[in-house]
Amino acid sequence: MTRLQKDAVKELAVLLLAVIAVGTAYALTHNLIHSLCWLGLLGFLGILAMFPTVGPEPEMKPEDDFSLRRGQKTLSILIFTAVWAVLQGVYLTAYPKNGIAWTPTLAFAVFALLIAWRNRKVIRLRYRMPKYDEREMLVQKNAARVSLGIFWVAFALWGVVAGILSDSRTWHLPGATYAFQVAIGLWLVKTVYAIAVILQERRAGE
Amino acid sequence: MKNRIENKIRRLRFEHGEMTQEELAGKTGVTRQTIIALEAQKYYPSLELAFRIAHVFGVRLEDVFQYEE
Repeated sequence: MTRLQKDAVKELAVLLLAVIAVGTAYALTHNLIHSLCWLGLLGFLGILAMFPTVGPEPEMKPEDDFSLRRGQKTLSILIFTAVWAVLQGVYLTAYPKNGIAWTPTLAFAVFALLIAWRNRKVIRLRYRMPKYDEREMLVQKNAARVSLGIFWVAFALWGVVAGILSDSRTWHLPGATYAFQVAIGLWLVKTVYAIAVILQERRAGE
Repeated sequence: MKNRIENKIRRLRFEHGEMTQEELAGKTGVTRQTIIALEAQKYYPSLELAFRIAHVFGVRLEDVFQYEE
Protein backbone atom coordinates (compact mmCIF):
# COMPACT_ATOMS: atom_id res chain seq x y z
CA MET A 1 0.00 0.00 0.00
CA THR A 2 1.42 3.40 -0.98
CA ARG A 3 1.62 6.30 1.46
CA LEU A 4 -1.13 8.15 -0.44
CA GLN A 5 -3.36 5.09 -0.09
CA LYS A 6 -2.61 4.86 3.64
CA ASP A 7 -3.62 8.50 4.10
CA ALA A 8 -6.76 7.98 2.00
CA VAL A 9 -7.77 4.90 4.04
CA LYS A 10 -7.31 6.88 7.27
CA GLU A 11 -9.43 9.66 5.81
CA LEU A 12 -12.17 7.22 4.77
CA ALA A 13 -12.19 5.72 8.29
CA VAL A 14 -12.72 9.16 9.83
CA LEU A 15 -15.44 9.98 7.27
CA LEU A 16 -17.22 6.72 8.08
CA LEU A 17 -16.91 7.50 11.78
CA ALA A 18 -18.45 10.91 11.10
CA VAL A 19 -21.56 9.31 9.62
CA ILE A 20 -21.86 6.94 12.60
CA ALA A 21 -21.34 9.81 15.07
CA VAL A 22 -23.91 12.08 13.43
CA GLY A 23 -26.39 9.21 13.09
CA THR A 24 -25.98 8.30 16.75
CA ALA A 25 -26.22 11.95 17.86
CA TYR A 26 -29.39 12.45 15.84
CA ALA A 27 -30.93 9.24 17.15
CA LEU A 28 -30.25 10.39 20.71
CA THR A 29 -31.13 14.09 20.47
CA HIS A 30 -33.42 14.35 17.41
CA ASN A 31 -31.71 17.69 16.89
CA LEU A 32 -30.10 18.42 13.54
CA ILE A 33 -27.91 21.26 14.88
CA HIS A 34 -26.54 19.16 17.74
CA SER A 35 -25.79 16.33 15.32
CA LEU A 36 -23.99 18.74 13.04
CA CYS A 37 -21.93 20.04 15.95
CA TRP A 38 -20.82 16.53 16.75
CA LEU A 39 -19.75 16.25 13.13
CA GLY A 40 -17.74 19.45 13.56
CA LEU A 41 -16.12 18.15 16.71
CA LEU A 42 -15.25 14.90 15.01
CA GLY A 43 -13.88 16.84 12.04
CA PHE A 44 -11.59 18.73 14.40
CA LEU A 45 -10.36 15.54 16.03
CA GLY A 46 -9.98 14.04 12.56
CA ILE A 47 -7.72 16.93 11.50
CA LEU A 48 -5.58 16.32 14.57
CA ALA A 49 -5.41 12.59 13.99
CA MET A 50 -4.79 12.55 10.26
CA PHE A 51 -1.26 13.31 9.29
CA PRO A 52 0.62 12.32 6.16
CA THR A 53 2.34 8.98 6.24
CA VAL A 54 5.99 9.89 6.20
CA GLY A 55 7.58 7.49 3.80
CA PRO A 56 11.30 6.93 3.51
CA GLU A 57 11.36 8.66 0.15
CA PRO A 58 11.19 11.44 -0.86
CA GLU A 59 11.24 13.33 2.42
CA MET A 60 8.35 15.63 3.12
CA LYS A 61 10.14 18.88 3.72
CA PRO A 62 8.97 22.35 2.82
CA GLU A 63 11.32 24.29 0.57
CA ASP A 64 12.05 27.03 3.11
CA ASP A 65 11.11 25.92 6.60
CA PHE A 66 12.77 28.63 8.67
CA SER A 67 11.87 29.38 12.28
CA LEU A 68 9.81 32.57 11.73
CA ARG A 69 7.45 30.83 9.34
CA ARG A 70 7.20 27.83 11.65
CA GLY A 71 6.15 30.18 14.48
CA GLN A 72 3.55 31.90 12.33
CA LYS A 73 2.16 28.55 11.26
CA THR A 74 1.80 27.38 14.86
CA LEU A 75 0.09 30.66 15.80
CA SER A 76 -2.37 30.42 12.90
CA ILE A 77 -3.17 26.80 13.84
CA LEU A 78 -3.83 27.81 17.44
CA ILE A 79 -6.08 30.72 16.38
CA PHE A 80 -7.96 28.41 14.02
CA THR A 81 -8.36 25.87 16.83
CA ALA A 82 -9.64 28.54 19.25
CA VAL A 83 -12.23 29.84 16.74
CA TRP A 84 -13.36 26.32 15.94
CA ALA A 85 -13.54 25.40 19.62
CA VAL A 86 -15.60 28.48 20.53
CA LEU A 87 -18.03 27.88 17.67
CA GLN A 88 -18.39 24.25 18.65
CA GLY A 89 -18.67 25.10 22.32
CA VAL A 90 -21.41 27.61 21.68
CA TYR A 91 -23.52 25.14 19.76
CA LEU A 92 -22.71 22.03 21.76
CA THR A 93 -23.61 23.54 25.11
CA ALA A 94 -26.72 25.67 25.09
CA TYR A 95 -27.26 27.95 22.11
CA PRO A 96 -29.86 28.64 20.78
CA LYS A 97 -32.02 27.14 23.51
CA ASN A 98 -30.59 28.88 26.57
CA GLY A 99 -28.16 31.41 25.14
CA ILE A 100 -24.40 31.07 25.26
CA ALA A 101 -23.01 29.19 28.25
CA TRP A 102 -19.64 30.86 28.66
CA THR A 103 -18.05 28.56 31.23
CA PRO A 104 -18.35 25.29 29.26
CA THR A 105 -17.52 27.16 26.04
CA LEU A 106 -14.27 28.50 27.49
CA ALA A 107 -13.49 25.12 29.05
CA PHE A 108 -14.00 23.47 25.66
CA ALA A 109 -11.77 26.09 23.99
CA VAL A 110 -8.99 25.55 26.53
CA PHE A 111 -9.27 21.77 26.12
CA ALA A 112 -9.09 22.06 22.31
CA LEU A 113 -6.09 24.39 22.53
CA LEU A 114 -4.30 21.95 24.83
CA ILE A 115 -4.90 19.12 22.36
CA ALA A 116 -3.66 21.31 19.51
CA TRP A 117 -0.56 22.35 21.49
CA ARG A 118 0.17 18.76 22.45
CA ASN A 119 -0.01 17.71 18.78
CA ARG A 120 1.59 20.84 17.33
CA LYS A 121 4.37 18.96 15.53
CA VAL A 122 1.95 16.56 13.87
CA ILE A 123 -0.42 19.37 12.91
CA ARG A 124 2.42 21.42 11.46
CA LEU A 125 3.45 18.46 9.35
CA ARG A 126 -0.13 18.12 8.19
CA TYR A 127 -0.47 21.75 7.20
CA ARG A 128 2.85 22.53 5.65
CA MET A 129 3.24 21.70 2.02
CA PRO A 130 4.65 18.20 1.81
CA LYS A 131 7.00 17.33 -0.97
CA TYR A 132 5.33 14.75 -3.14
CA ASP A 133 6.87 13.46 -6.31
CA GLU A 134 5.41 14.27 -9.73
CA ARG A 135 3.31 11.10 -9.99
CA GLU A 136 1.83 11.60 -6.52
CA MET A 137 0.98 15.21 -7.35
CA LEU A 138 -0.73 14.05 -10.54
CA VAL A 139 -2.74 11.49 -8.55
CA GLN A 140 -3.83 14.18 -6.07
CA LYS A 141 -4.69 16.62 -8.85
CA ASN A 142 -6.80 14.03 -10.69
CA ALA A 143 -8.55 13.00 -7.45
CA ALA A 144 -9.36 16.65 -6.66
CA ARG A 145 -10.70 17.15 -10.17
CA VAL A 146 -12.93 14.04 -9.96
CA SER A 147 -14.24 14.89 -6.48
CA LEU A 148 -15.06 18.49 -7.39
CA GLY A 149 -16.67 17.36 -10.65
CA ILE A 150 -18.92 14.91 -8.83
CA PHE A 151 -19.67 17.53 -6.16
CA TRP A 152 -20.87 20.10 -8.72
CA VAL A 153 -23.00 17.52 -10.56
CA ALA A 154 -24.57 16.47 -7.24
CA PHE A 155 -25.01 20.13 -6.29
CA ALA A 156 -26.81 20.91 -9.55
CA LEU A 157 -29.05 17.85 -9.30
CA TRP A 158 -29.87 18.62 -5.68
CA GLY A 159 -30.67 22.22 -6.62
CA VAL A 160 -33.12 21.05 -9.28
CA VAL A 161 -34.79 18.49 -6.99
CA ALA A 162 -35.00 20.90 -4.02
CA GLY A 163 -36.35 23.62 -6.32
CA ILE A 164 -39.07 21.38 -7.72
CA LEU A 165 -40.04 20.15 -4.23
CA SER A 166 -40.21 23.64 -2.72
CA ASP A 167 -42.09 25.04 -5.74
CA SER A 168 -44.73 22.35 -5.44
CA ARG A 169 -44.96 23.21 -1.69
CA THR A 170 -44.64 19.54 -0.81
CA TRP A 171 -41.52 20.11 1.23
CA HIS A 172 -40.20 22.88 3.42
CA LEU A 173 -36.53 22.90 4.37
CA PRO A 174 -35.83 23.88 7.98
CA GLY A 175 -33.03 26.42 8.56
CA ALA A 176 -30.63 23.83 9.98
CA THR A 177 -30.78 21.86 6.76
CA TYR A 178 -28.67 24.44 4.95
CA ALA A 179 -25.76 23.93 7.36
CA PHE A 180 -26.27 20.20 7.01
CA GLN A 181 -26.09 20.48 3.23
CA VAL A 182 -22.66 22.13 3.50
CA ALA A 183 -21.48 19.29 5.75
CA ILE A 184 -22.80 16.67 3.31
CA GLY A 185 -21.10 18.50 0.42
CA LEU A 186 -17.75 18.51 2.21
CA TRP A 187 -18.21 14.87 3.18
CA LEU A 188 -18.92 13.96 -0.45
CA VAL A 189 -15.86 15.82 -1.74
CA LYS A 190 -13.54 14.22 0.84
CA THR A 191 -14.98 10.72 0.33
CA VAL A 192 -14.76 10.81 -3.48
CA TYR A 193 -11.25 12.27 -3.23
CA ALA A 194 -10.05 9.46 -0.94
CA ILE A 195 -11.61 6.75 -3.13
CA ALA A 196 -10.14 8.32 -6.28
CA VAL A 197 -6.66 8.35 -4.69
CA ILE A 198 -6.94 4.69 -3.66
CA LEU A 199 -8.13 3.61 -7.12
CA GLN A 200 -5.46 5.59 -8.97
CA GLU A 201 -2.70 4.31 -6.72
CA ARG A 202 -3.52 0.74 -7.68
CA ARG A 203 -1.40 1.21 -10.81
CA ALA A 204 1.60 1.82 -8.59
CA GLY A 205 0.98 -1.43 -6.73
CA GLU A 206 3.65 -3.92 -5.91
CA MET B 1 -4.19 -0.15 -26.64
CA LYS B 2 -0.48 -0.73 -26.95
CA ASN B 3 1.83 1.63 -25.10
CA ARG B 4 3.80 3.68 -27.64
CA ILE B 5 6.48 4.79 -25.20
CA GLU B 6 8.44 1.94 -23.76
CA ASN B 7 11.34 1.97 -21.36
CA LYS B 8 14.23 -0.25 -20.37
CA ILE B 9 14.49 0.84 -16.74
CA ARG B 10 14.22 -2.68 -15.34
CA ARG B 11 16.94 -3.99 -17.64
CA LEU B 12 19.20 -1.02 -16.96
CA ARG B 13 18.80 -1.53 -13.22
CA PHE B 14 20.02 -5.08 -13.47
CA GLU B 15 22.88 -4.07 -15.75
CA HIS B 16 23.96 -1.55 -13.11
CA GLY B 17 24.80 -3.96 -10.32
CA GLU B 18 21.21 -5.08 -9.77
CA MET B 19 20.25 -1.66 -8.51
CA THR B 20 17.07 -1.86 -6.43
CA GLN B 21 13.96 0.18 -7.14
CA GLU B 22 14.53 1.84 -3.79
CA GLU B 23 18.03 2.96 -4.80
CA LEU B 24 16.87 4.31 -8.14
CA ALA B 25 14.01 6.12 -6.42
CA GLY B 26 16.44 7.73 -3.97
CA LYS B 27 18.78 8.84 -6.74
CA THR B 28 16.01 10.36 -8.83
CA GLY B 29 14.02 11.90 -5.95
CA VAL B 30 10.78 9.99 -6.39
CA THR B 31 8.97 7.26 -4.47
CA ARG B 32 9.56 3.57 -5.09
CA GLN B 33 5.93 3.31 -6.21
CA THR B 34 6.68 5.74 -9.02
CA ILE B 35 9.54 3.52 -10.23
CA ILE B 36 7.16 0.53 -10.07
CA ALA B 37 4.58 2.44 -12.13
CA LEU B 38 7.24 3.47 -14.64
CA GLU B 39 8.55 -0.06 -15.08
CA ALA B 40 5.03 -1.37 -15.52
CA GLN B 41 4.49 1.30 -18.24
CA LYS B 42 1.58 2.68 -16.23
CA TYR B 43 3.02 6.12 -15.86
CA TYR B 44 4.91 8.34 -18.28
CA PRO B 45 7.50 10.53 -16.57
CA SER B 46 8.06 14.22 -17.12
CA LEU B 47 10.96 15.16 -19.35
CA GLU B 48 12.93 16.22 -16.27
CA LEU B 49 12.49 12.88 -14.52
CA ALA B 50 13.28 11.03 -17.74
CA PHE B 51 16.58 12.91 -17.98
CA ARG B 52 17.34 12.25 -14.30
CA ILE B 53 16.83 8.51 -14.83
CA ALA B 54 19.06 8.51 -17.90
CA HIS B 55 21.68 10.47 -15.96
CA VAL B 56 21.67 7.90 -13.11
CA PHE B 57 22.42 5.12 -15.61
CA GLY B 58 24.89 7.29 -17.51
CA VAL B 59 23.15 6.74 -20.84
CA ARG B 60 21.27 8.87 -23.36
CA LEU B 61 17.55 9.49 -23.01
CA GLU B 62 16.71 7.36 -26.04
CA ASP B 63 18.61 4.45 -24.51
CA VAL B 64 16.07 4.41 -21.68
CA PHE B 65 12.88 5.47 -23.46
CA GLN B 66 11.83 4.44 -26.93
CA TYR B 67 8.95 5.79 -28.95
CA GLU B 68 7.36 3.26 -31.27
CA GLU B 69 5.81 4.63 -34.47
